[in-house]
Amino acid sequence: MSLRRRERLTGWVFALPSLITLGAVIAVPLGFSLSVSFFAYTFINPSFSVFLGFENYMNAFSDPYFWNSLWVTLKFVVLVVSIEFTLGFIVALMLNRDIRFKGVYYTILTMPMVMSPVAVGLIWKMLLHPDLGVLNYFLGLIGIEPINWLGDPTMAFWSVLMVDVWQQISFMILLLLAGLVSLPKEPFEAATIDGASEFQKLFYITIPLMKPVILAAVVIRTIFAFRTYDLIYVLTRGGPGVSTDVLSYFIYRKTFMGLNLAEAAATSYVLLGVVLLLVVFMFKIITSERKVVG
Amino acid sequence: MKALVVKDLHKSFGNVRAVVGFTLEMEEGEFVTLLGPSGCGKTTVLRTVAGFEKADKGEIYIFGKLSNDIPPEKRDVGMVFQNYALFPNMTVAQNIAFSMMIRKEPQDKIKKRVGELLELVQLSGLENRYPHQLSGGQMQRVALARALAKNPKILLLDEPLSALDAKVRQQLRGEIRKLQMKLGITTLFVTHDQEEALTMSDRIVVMKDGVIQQIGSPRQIYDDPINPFVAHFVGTSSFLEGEMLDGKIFIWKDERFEVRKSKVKNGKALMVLRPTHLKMVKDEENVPDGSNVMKGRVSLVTFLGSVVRVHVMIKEEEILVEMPSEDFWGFKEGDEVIVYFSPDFPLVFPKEQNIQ
Repeated sequence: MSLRRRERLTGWVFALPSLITLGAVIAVPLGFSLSVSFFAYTFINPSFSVFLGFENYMNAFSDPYFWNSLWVTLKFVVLVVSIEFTLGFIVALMLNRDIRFKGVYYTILTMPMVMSPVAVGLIWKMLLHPDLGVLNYFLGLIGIEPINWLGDPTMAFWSVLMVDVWQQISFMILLLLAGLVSLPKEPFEAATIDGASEFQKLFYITIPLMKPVILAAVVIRTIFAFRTYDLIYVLTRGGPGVSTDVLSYFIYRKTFMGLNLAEAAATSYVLLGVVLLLVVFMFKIITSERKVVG
Repeated sequence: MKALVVKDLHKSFGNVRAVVGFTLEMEEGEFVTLLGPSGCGKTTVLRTVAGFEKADKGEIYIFGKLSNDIPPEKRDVGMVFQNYALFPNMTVAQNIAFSMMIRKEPQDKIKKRVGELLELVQLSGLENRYPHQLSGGQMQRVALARALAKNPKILLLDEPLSALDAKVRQQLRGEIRKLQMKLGITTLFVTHDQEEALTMSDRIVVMKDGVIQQIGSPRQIYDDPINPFVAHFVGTSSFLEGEMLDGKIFIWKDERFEVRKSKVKNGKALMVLRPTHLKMVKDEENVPDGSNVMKGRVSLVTFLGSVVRVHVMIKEEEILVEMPSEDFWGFKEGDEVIVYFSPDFPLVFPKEQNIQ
């Protein structure tokens, strides 16, 4: 056996365990759900006997609730990611200087991140409770009428948004901060000598140098935001009405309440398609950016 | 008026005393090099002059103006960094124009100045390239042009050549010096490379552990080092440990050498021999009268291009002898040789002064 072939074989041997695991937990379910989405496969009749073609997809597209969920999801993802990015970048910039108690801030920041979303949901559900919640209590102290945080259709969306930002922003901050810390300091000193103000340094140096990190952080958060499910489940169950019914929760309802596995699978694939499109688009930007940044 | 005056500068980082009592005066148009091993405080001095570090004690005057509390951008200095520090997202022209753009100067003026500067650093035609499309040498030229763009009164160079290949480094060395003389700009240069210091400077400041060891012209530093450290750091030397007698005779093992330049009268002493001060012959009859003579055996011959360096073992110590390649007539390893030197050349220092 030639050395090249032996090396290749060794490579396969090392890669095999993870390939098998990945295949079992990702490829098989993906393939299975893809085939399910083309058949009349339900919990009552779990078989591949009736082929429907794209009918499940058509059904999903003609369902006004699907369009509502898609809209809620997109609104949620865009808002959550942009708020987290903006606030996160500001906080990261503030932490990226010589300040006291840095360790304390880092500890506080890490805490929401390591908590399970279900626990976070339960805690916030208590805090936001219209009668017993501590938030309304404090608002009452300064003379503001109690707010029905999770019960009001408009308010519920913003409440879920706020809780998600509260939990996920630390991830954004830490990722951006890691990027900021690793920036070379000479370009900033060169700009200082040239008389650039802090704002000019931010726009001409920090942001351009940070672009790869920013895009990576935004891509990761976007993917995660599309998958938000547990927080919705605990806080609102998609309600009131369908005002917080994001696609992942919509799919859950279709599967386990509607028991319509096939249509749920089709919807999942639509969600996957949307996410993939976005990610491919973002990676395109990253790679074209690399070419310029070097 | 002096271009730059640094008076009794002190700077510590925590427990580390980076600069201790640094004093230097620079004339307008002078090229001064801070030379020393890493951690000797040379960069700290430069950064304090630039305004990036605050002096613990001492004053900095730039063209007569006390500058301790003046921020970097108002000090009228330009700076070139070791790692180029170009803005990767901007073209060559944008990099050079940065300071003018910040000051909102008119576009046509900026364009004209960028053109001039590009010509000055011989990069005309590359204005629309991005830094990653340039070689190291080209990037450092852009950095130089950028530093010169706002017509600074003092140019600060922080090891600008260290990241470059030997060939480019040598070429740029000459170019920077010529450019500096043409513009007549006062320049403070930091390096750990003795060759750069010797070839480029009007004066050299040799530093060690935050303290100035010696200030002088390259010739003075090389020919007349003030202590063994300077002799060791600048140029190549062999060191012999022995004893001085009456300030005239140096006793090494059982040899007695006559010396004329000793900083010691009696007692333990260290003799510094430059390889170029030593001569080597096969037979004793060729040795001029009055020379100090040692016998040894060649242990290694290395060809360095313009010179040949011969390692000679004399009484279990290795002594280096250098001669122009054209004068070298074929000593080889194992040859018995006579090494001699004039009493005018060697320097003798007190033994307690360490070379490290």
